Amino acid sequence: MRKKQLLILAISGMGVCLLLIAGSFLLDLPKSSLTGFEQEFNPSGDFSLTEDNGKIFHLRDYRGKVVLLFFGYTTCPDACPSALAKLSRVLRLLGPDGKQVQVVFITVDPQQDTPARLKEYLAYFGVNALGLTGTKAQIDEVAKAYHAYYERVSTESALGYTISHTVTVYLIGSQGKVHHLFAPEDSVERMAEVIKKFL
Amino acid sequence: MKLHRAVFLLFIFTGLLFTGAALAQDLGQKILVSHAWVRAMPPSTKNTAAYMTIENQTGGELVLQSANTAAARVVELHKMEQAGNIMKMKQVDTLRIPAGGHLVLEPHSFHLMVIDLLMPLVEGETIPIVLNFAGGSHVTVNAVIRKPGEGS
Repeated sequence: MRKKQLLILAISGMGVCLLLIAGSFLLDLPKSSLTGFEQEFNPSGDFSLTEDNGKIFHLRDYRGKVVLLFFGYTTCPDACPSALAKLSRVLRLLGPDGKQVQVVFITVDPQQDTPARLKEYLAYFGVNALGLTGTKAQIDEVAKAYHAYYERVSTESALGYTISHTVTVYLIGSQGKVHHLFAPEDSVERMAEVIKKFL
Repeated sequence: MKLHRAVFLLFIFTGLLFTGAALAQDLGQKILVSHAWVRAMPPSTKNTAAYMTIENQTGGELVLQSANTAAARVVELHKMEQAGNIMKMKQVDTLRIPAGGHLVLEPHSFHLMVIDLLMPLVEGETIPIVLNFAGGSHVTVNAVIRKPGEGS
């Protein structure tokens, strides 16, 4: 009789343990997948390029801030101005919290986008965005780290060329890690809501 | 009492006027263009995009073949294509609007690519854009120069 009771106790004990283990895995799941996500995009949490004012930019200098990173070019007629106009609305919605957000625009057209041109272009959209440029090799390296794609495409259009590019806005948190990817479909309200979580 | 009647008559006349104007427009234009705007860009940027809604009430298919404006050297028909998180832009030869249908030119989709601006774009002003349709019909629209906060 005692043996039986012990056995039941042991089995139920094991059952509870198994449940706890399974439960901990379930609870851990979102966390671990998030870690994987953070590891996937520029795990070093740093990169350097040239700012539109000539200074050297280091992502590590922006610890404690939320950086919204975007790849584009100043003659981009549709996607880039749309994204910047949207970001200006997001910042407005964030109000005073918006001061902790730095918008960073990396040109994928360094030949055309001189620092002066980047500065004028970005100032126009009122998001206090920092324009970054560099050699093609430097930009390629950063783009690769963020799994961003761009390709200069020759066209018969009077434009001469267009650049197909990734239009994701990367949310980089206070430790330089990517926490969220925004798509062009994301609403201003949704973006502000997500950003708030990381301020 | 007299005042009331005067106000009432004024209402009726205004109503008649508006209906008349709307009717005249409807009869005169089988191609209706609305919400025409062009994106204001920084002064050194020589290209921009124009957007609008074109409604086809002609009874047959409408083919937009080209467009031009006094404000720029070239206007082209373009289309944005999103593949995953990558945006591509393509020039298209024509834009087709089925009978009774409409075509919306909007960000991330179809637009008129305005290339080599000849004058600075001043917010709030308009530029005339001529739409040239197959069959020889032309429609001139005044696109408002806007600096948008994109719709959410």
